[in-house]
Amino acid sequence: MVPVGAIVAAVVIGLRALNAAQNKTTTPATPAATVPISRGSSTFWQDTGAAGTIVFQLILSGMVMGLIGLGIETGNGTALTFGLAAFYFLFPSWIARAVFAPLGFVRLAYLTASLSRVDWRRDKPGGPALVAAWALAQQGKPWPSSIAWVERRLSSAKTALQASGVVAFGLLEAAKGRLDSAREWLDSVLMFDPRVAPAHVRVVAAEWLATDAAARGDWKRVKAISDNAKWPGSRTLTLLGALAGRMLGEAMPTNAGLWFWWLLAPRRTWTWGFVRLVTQRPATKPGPAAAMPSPPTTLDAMGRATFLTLALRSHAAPDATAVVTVARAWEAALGSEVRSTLFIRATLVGGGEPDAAVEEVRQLVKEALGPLLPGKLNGVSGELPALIESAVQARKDKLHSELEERMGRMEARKLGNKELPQLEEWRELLTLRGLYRQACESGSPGDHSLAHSIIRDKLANFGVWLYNVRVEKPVANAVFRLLEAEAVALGDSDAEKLNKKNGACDL
Amino acid sequence: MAQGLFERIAENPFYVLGVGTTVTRTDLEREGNKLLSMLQLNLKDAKTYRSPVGEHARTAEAVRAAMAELRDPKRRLVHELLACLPVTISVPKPQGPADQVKWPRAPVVFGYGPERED
Repeated sequence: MVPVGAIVAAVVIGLRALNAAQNKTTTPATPAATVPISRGSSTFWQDTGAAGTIVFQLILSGMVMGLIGLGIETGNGTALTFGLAAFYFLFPSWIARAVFAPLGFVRLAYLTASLSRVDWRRDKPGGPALVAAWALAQQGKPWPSSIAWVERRLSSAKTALQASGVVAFGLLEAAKGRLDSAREWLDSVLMFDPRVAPAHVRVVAAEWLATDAAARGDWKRVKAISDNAKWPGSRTLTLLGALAGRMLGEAMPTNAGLWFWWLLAPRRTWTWGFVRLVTQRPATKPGPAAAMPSPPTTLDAMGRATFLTLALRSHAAPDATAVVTVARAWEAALGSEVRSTLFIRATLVGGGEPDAAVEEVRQLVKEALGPLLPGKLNGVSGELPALIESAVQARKDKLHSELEERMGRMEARKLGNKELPQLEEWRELLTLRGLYRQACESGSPGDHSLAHSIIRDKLANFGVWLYNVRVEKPVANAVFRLLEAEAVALGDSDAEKLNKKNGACDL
Repeated sequence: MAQGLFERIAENPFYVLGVGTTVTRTDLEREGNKLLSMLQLNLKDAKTYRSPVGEHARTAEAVRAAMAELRDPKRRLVHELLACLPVTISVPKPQGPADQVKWPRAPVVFGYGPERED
């Protein structure tokens, strides 16, 4: 009988010794300070342990086939048990994803995925935490202790943060019911280089985002996700994209096409009802955005303004045109005519200050309409009414000073070498990116340039610090990619060149 | 007063007291006292008032606060400005897209969390 176990052990020990010897020759003379271990290799083939993994997997495959075959043929329970155990060690990542996670076994999914030598070889604990967080998503009301358990595993990471950790944290936020935060975290996966955000990680984020959008009836978002080439494709996303297309009034796919995608998609029994509902609906384009009702013609200017204000209040998501219409109505109402009327009323009621009353109402209108005005003033023609122009300017100023302040704080932290836990560091970046996006939201090139000038150099330096000092290479790379994309959008060739060069550094 | 524009319109003292903006001080006091007596007697008619945004509960405190506000000519002028819409006019909701179909069970179906609530 061939001593398979002894051969495996000898091969593994030999390969490890070889790797250790190779590493020894490249280790600097003075030991470096303890830093988080980064991914270190950009592809599986550049991975120093890849050869060992392949040999190990091949030997395990032989053992699985031999032992299970022997067990079935001879009815030997021991051989079958060892064969199944070898199968478990051969495909731990697949078993965690396909068996334990769908069943909601959080800890078992984590521990099994941790054994992975292929999928999550250099992505621990992020990868196993992702599988565990996905297992949590299967539970209707996950136990807080289970959420905390996964969170502890994730926060105790000694390796650089990668996309898997971000997706895992996003799923944990969803498990806690913080859906807005979950959306932001999961969407941010696209900031990572695909080398540290493999397809099987991005697909979890994409499917979560698409199902969440479908649940809210946001079919445009579903379609955008399924059509975006940056997200990987999946059978689930294809079906959701096809459903979204029909919901948005597109002629394709036909009913036959829809049923075809349904047939290919997973969980057919559960999706059948909704697909049937969609096939029975005529493909009609969604109506235009909610229109403001017209005030009765019998009303005076003040009545009209009040009417429109109350209509705006019941508007689920007022667009810029609706807010500007209301502001214009108030501008017309609070003119000289109302002042004359108020002077007469003041005489009749025995006092009062008409100008102060008008000013108080103007302030109320400003405070009420300012926050309702979307950043993008789509469809607004002509000059903005004074009542909201100041609100728009005040909001821009506030955003720029917030962006400046946040960037300044990060710069000060960098200079003081003050580190944040890696997940907090990513949160800081997301907040900064959120502020930056809001500052650019108006669409005016001036605003975009101004916001870019605030982050251009400081954020690049921050990225360099993340790369060199903190060795958070994937996060630093995400910073460079963001800055490069912005530089390209603004035609800033110097910044583009610099960030492209920085982004090309190894991960 | 920390109330915003919408609340100031919906809870306008003129609507609370159920009087027009041109009411005299004497009529205002009479109407306020009448409502307070009715509320003390627990009469159904006095328990609610209408504003352009619908029906609201009327309490003795709200009536007293409304009377106090309208006794001050400075405050009264502001409230007159915000009570220009007759309560008989109801404001319809903006007309949105006719049928926005949602799939609240989509996350459950594909294993991405519990059913979403509106």
